[in-house]
Amino acid sequence: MVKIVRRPHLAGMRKLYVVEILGGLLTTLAHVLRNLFFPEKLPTVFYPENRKAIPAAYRGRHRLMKREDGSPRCTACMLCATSCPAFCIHIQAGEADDPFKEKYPVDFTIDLLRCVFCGLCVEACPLDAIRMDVPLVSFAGYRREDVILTKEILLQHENADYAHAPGYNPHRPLSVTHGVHYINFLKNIK
Amino acid sequence: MQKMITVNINNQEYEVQEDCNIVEACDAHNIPLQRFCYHRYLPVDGSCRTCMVEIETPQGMMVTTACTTKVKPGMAIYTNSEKAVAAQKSALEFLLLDHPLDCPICDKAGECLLQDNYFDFGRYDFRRTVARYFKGGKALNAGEHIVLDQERCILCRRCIRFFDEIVRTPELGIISRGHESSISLFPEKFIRNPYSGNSADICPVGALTLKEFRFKQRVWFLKKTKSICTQCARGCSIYIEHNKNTVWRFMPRENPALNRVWMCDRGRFSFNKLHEKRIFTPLKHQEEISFNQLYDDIAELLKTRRSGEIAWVVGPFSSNETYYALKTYCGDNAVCLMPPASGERDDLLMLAEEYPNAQGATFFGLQTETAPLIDKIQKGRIAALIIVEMDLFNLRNDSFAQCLMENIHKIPLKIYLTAYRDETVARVDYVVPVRTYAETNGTFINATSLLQKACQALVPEHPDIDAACIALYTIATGARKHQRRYSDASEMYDKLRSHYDELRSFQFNQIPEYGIALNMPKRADEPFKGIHVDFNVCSTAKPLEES
Repeated sequence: MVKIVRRPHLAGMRKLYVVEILGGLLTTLAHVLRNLFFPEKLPTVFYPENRKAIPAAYRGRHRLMKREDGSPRCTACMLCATSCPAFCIHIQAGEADDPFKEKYPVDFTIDLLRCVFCGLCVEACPLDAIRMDVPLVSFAGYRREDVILTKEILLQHENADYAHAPGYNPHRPLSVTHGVHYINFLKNIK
Repeated sequence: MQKMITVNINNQEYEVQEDCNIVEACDAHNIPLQRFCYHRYLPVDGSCRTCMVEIETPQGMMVTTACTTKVKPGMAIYTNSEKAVAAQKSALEFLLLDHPLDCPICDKAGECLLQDNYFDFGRYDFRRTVARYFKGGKALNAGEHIVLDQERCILCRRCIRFFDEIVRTPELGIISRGHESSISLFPEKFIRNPYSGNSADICPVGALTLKEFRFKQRVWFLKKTKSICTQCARGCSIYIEHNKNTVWRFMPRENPALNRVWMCDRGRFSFNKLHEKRIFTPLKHQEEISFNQLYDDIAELLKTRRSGEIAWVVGPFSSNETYYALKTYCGDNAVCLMPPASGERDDLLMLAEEYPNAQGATFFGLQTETAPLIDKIQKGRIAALIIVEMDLFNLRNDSFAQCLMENIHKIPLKIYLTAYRDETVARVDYVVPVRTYAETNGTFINATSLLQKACQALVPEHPDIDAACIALYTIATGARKHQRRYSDASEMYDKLRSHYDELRSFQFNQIPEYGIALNMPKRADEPFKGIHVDFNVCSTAKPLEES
């Protein structure tokens, strides 16, 4: 359906556009005065000193989850690398000492220059080992190496950049990010 | 040729071979039927109970295993009737009952029969009410190449039958009873036979895995290229499985006339050699030069010499195309050296001759008598020696190599075409890097006179690196790059086939998968001499996708 917007018909005093300009200046003046006397009503924040809380379902940079003993939860099954449409995940698997763990990632690299932030790796992971919930809005770098994430960076959950980000809890349960339905689904498959 | 009979499978008439079992009859006509313990080249066991079908008998309809039942004329078989499907599903359910769901860790994931069959035939609702029984026995060291995982085993006994019936070294067995039964080695013994790698291939789940391949790559990343094994004169058919221009494993390829689906460990674990000690840049007196300068220098140096003064020495390691180039472009002074056959041998596959193409040299009529050349070298009548793909200075107890060592100062120019940095590289004037057999197309003739092709799997490190046959052609004719008649070794094959009656009708890409049997004297006995290996083979069989 097409909606045609016609130009407003101007007549009388409004045809003298000095009046309209004065009206515009009045609006600007109203904003200036309101921001001066009621700064708490400002719609913008003083980033980076002040930051807004990032929603729980925000899809940001990747991180690797840990087991209770601190080792990475990842078993290098390569399902994330397989599902990745940008081929940005590079994993090298190795034999673990514990025969019940068997396999662990010796090297886990994500090339953010290639990543398209689609989140398919998070969906593919059978172990909840990778999440995209780091509450960082800007992670640009000056060099390529700055944006190629190594295993050490991915396993860091308490970085100074975002440790005190409002609403951030590195140990938050899956239900926050994935919703209650997903948790019920996991319980049902035992 | 066996007699054909007509059977009725799922209300449709099919022609199948007499005396074959129902699994083979279904496979020949692409009727899906799951199986675990059944394998075309192993004796029938009937232990997994998953290939259940319903057949019509005089006593009425009967549910039975397809692998143990032979087809009879006019037999009515149902693979998808209600009873048959229920039997298949419940047998499959029992197999998964105590099987760990560690597919993310398991190396077999992607080519696992339990995964594949469960997707096709399985039931997805979970019905277990009692606690799971854990067998334990994870990642046990079972031998030089094999890792055993008792928990993943579904007791199909394929590996046991393979060691018992084909290698004839009973090294594995099932211990305990009931749900506690698990596959096991004898106490303080390991799998030591030279065919142990096959047990990991035929294992339908990840109970037996290869140490050399464990966790290196997921199988769905691997690309398969048809090739042959070059570690002995048997020339078994293999797949080169590669990803990111690196070979990760060799897998035997089914060839009913040759290796069936087996290969020896010596060949299987030779894949690392393709990436070790490689040479990618031309050398002049051990200093790196460019390819243009290399071919210019060689053309300049050879131009001044008469063809009688140039000697060409090749080993039985090269492809047929290289022999053809030698025979056609390089004159009469081409000699093929045969190193002594010193390798391990047995009645199954392994031969003592550790080189792939001695028959090819015979087929192309290359001279193997070295005495005239030795004589010429001793008299100083050889002005240039060109060694092709053979580590000549590493040969021990060979009269030609001995003579060369002693008279090396009498030959002013020595050129070496090689893919590897070996002992000969240090002793020659020019080194021409060439491609390995995995980086170029080629054909080889094995000891039982079967001509097979080896296709190109990898891309060479440098685009100017040529196959040995093309490098030889360039050196012998002095052709510049734009003047070359061949851009790929398969074109050289297409040229040579017109000279031989047996090859004339096959272009390179039309060479059959199982090779061309040539009519020439054989150098060795047929494989599996005196050992029964074709247990369930029928003439209508389709190639095995899985092994």
